[in-house]
Amino acid sequence: MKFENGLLERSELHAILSSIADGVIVTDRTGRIVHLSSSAEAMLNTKSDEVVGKSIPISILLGRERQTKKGLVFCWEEKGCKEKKCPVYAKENPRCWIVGDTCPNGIKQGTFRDKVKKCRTCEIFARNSRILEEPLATIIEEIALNEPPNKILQIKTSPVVDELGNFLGFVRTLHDITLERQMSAMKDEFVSTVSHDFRIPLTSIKGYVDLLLDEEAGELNDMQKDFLTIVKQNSERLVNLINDFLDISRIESGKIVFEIKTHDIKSIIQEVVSTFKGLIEEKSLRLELKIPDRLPKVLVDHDRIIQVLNNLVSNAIKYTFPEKDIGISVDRKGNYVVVSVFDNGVGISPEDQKKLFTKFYRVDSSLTQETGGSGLGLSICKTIIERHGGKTWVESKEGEGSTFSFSIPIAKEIREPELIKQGIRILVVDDEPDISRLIQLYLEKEGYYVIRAFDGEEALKMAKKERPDLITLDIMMGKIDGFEVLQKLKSDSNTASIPVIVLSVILDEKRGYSLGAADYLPKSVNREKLVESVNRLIERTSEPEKKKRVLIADDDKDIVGFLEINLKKAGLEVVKAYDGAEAIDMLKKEKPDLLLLDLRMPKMDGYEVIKVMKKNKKMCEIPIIIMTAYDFDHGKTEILNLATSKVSKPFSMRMLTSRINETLIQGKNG
Amino acid sequence: MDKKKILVVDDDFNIAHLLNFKLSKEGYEVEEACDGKDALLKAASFEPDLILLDIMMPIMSGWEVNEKLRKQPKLKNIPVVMVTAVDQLKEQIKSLEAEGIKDYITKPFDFSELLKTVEMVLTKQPESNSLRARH
Repeated sequence: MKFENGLLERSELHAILSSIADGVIVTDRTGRIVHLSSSAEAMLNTKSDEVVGKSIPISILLGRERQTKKGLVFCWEEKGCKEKKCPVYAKENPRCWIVGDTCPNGIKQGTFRDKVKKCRTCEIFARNSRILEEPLATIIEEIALNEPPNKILQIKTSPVVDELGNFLGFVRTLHDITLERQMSAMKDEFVSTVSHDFRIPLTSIKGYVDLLLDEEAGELNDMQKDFLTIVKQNSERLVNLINDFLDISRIESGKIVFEIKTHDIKSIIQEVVSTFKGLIEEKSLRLELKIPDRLPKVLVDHDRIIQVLNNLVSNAIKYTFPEKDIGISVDRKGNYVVVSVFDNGVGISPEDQKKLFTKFYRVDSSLTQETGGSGLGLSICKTIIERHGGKTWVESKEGEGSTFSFSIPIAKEIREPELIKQGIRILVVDDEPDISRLIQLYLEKEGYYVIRAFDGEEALKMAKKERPDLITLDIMMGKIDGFEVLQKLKSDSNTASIPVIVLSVILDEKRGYSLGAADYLPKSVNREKLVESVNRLIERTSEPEKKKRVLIADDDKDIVGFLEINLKKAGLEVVKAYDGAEAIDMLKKEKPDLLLLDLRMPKMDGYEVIKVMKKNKKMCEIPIIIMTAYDFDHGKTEILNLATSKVSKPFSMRMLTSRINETLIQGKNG
Repeated sequence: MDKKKILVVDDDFNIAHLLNFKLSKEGYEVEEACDGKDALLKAASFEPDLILLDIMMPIMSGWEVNEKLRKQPKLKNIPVVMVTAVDQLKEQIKSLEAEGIKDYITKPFDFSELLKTVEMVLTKQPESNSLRARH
């Protein structure tokens, strides 16, 4: 080995990879393992030649309990083994590994299904799914191995991209952090024991002082009262300190599972503002809110964000002199919403700014002397925001004031339901073209497909022919009025089940409802109310039977698993086949609405499948989307042209879902 | 109207005493018990309308005391409020959904919070008294 000519030879590269102290695993873009270093072998207690060349999900490599006895052959690779042999398979299809059954949130108990379900709501899932679409970031995970010696590994997954920007696969480094975690577990245990033992004597101190102060033991003179008040305040401070201690140790150790849900940041801020109303008035501060009207929803734990805001606002109040300004502003920055709490207070020096977010750091100033605190508040805020995948920072000038800001991720869910909704059609009936257009725009913005009718007769015709999922109906129209249209719709069995929202200046709700309207909204049209009503009704009618069924035919288990999760998330039902012959079987049996077809499969390839389908009357109508990692075989373009569309691997999930939805709508219209 | 009766159970007698003092001042009739066994005996003899129960006690924990109470027909309808220094009890109560436990107070407590909780639980529980009267 020389490293002499400035360029590394292949064998040298291999030697370097194997010499890295951390474990190294390299996979190609289809998920096949191409390298497993000797330190990784030791950590995972496996042999490189048993796994290299195979498509084994990394989590399965790590979760040794899911390994069958015959080396690394998994049940789903063996034909005919579905329920009986592997307990995991019976519980849940194990291919959900992509969403990370290794949730660093500490979700370790429960079935595989539980884990995945919980993972979906946690921030890691949110982060992972984001990363899958923008595969240039490094994911850091922590994984506890199930087999002795129960090592805890930190795994960093980075994409490998060549100089031309082609995605080649992933490289993972495995770093043993067992000792660090054991130490921190001990620390947590210690903190929680100590804090419990502190509370007991504090209960007596605080309780008896309260009794004395309430003059339950006899009258007190002013000086006695003053002194006891000091005791009381300090015992309360001690309690807060203990709570902060516990809090930070819990949040840091991941013992607190965040309930990440979609929330409206505006209402969270209003909640906080109302808490502090009294204090703000007491100090004669002016409160300014700069919140734009249309903000995307955010993906956060409600209580934790309240905790962060409470902390920042109470700091702003504390460090601002009476009759000055404080405020909260909100801005959108890319995929994040940035919330800032600003004040005209004393400000913070550049040196202090640097250390502000570290534990126990307190700024020395005449104001802090009287205000007091644990020095943990901002550190807790920072940790909470980091757990959301956001950042915390401060801008300040001494004597002028400070602005504390944090970013939190925008909820993806807003976009995802749109994709589901695209298959849903709404008939808008209104004789006023401008209003009709407006309603159309509102609904299209929500991802619905809109068709329009401009009088009663046309409305009835279109309702019968197009069978929309929902109708919005104006009342005042020429010839046939809306009430008559409604009555006719409801008496025709073809259209009776379509929910109708009446939109009218005539406020005759009673008549509307008695004729079978699902909702009655006044004009002029209120966008939010309309959208809310439509969403609600669509959800109600489409839940049970509207799900479209997609058949995935691909021999790569990982890809099938990945697609399954994402398509289910997009509201589709999924059936699977792992070779061409199985696909044909499933097409007959399950009658899917759409086929996602891989071209290279064992037994019968994709071209054959298409040929068979197009010859069969029952199957020739099913739309086909071809997906392949290889270039299309140009000798067979004729066959390929029979498919509805094509995508090349690797593809982004968003692209695929929108392609699927387009195809499903076309199928419905044609 | 008769004075409502409250049994206070805590292995730290300072705290039991503190609760006793304050609640007596508020017009309740109060008994103290210093461990689980004592609590069960006093619950039977004193027939309280409410038990304030510490969780971390030697030999028998508050959870065990509560379970034993529920098994005795004469005692099973007495409402219990847990008083504890174990943080995050809310989660625990939720997860355990233990029968008979109506609320909890964390140590250290404010008297106002204590009295509010006690009053709320007592006024909410008229049926338990009537049930008990039938035995």
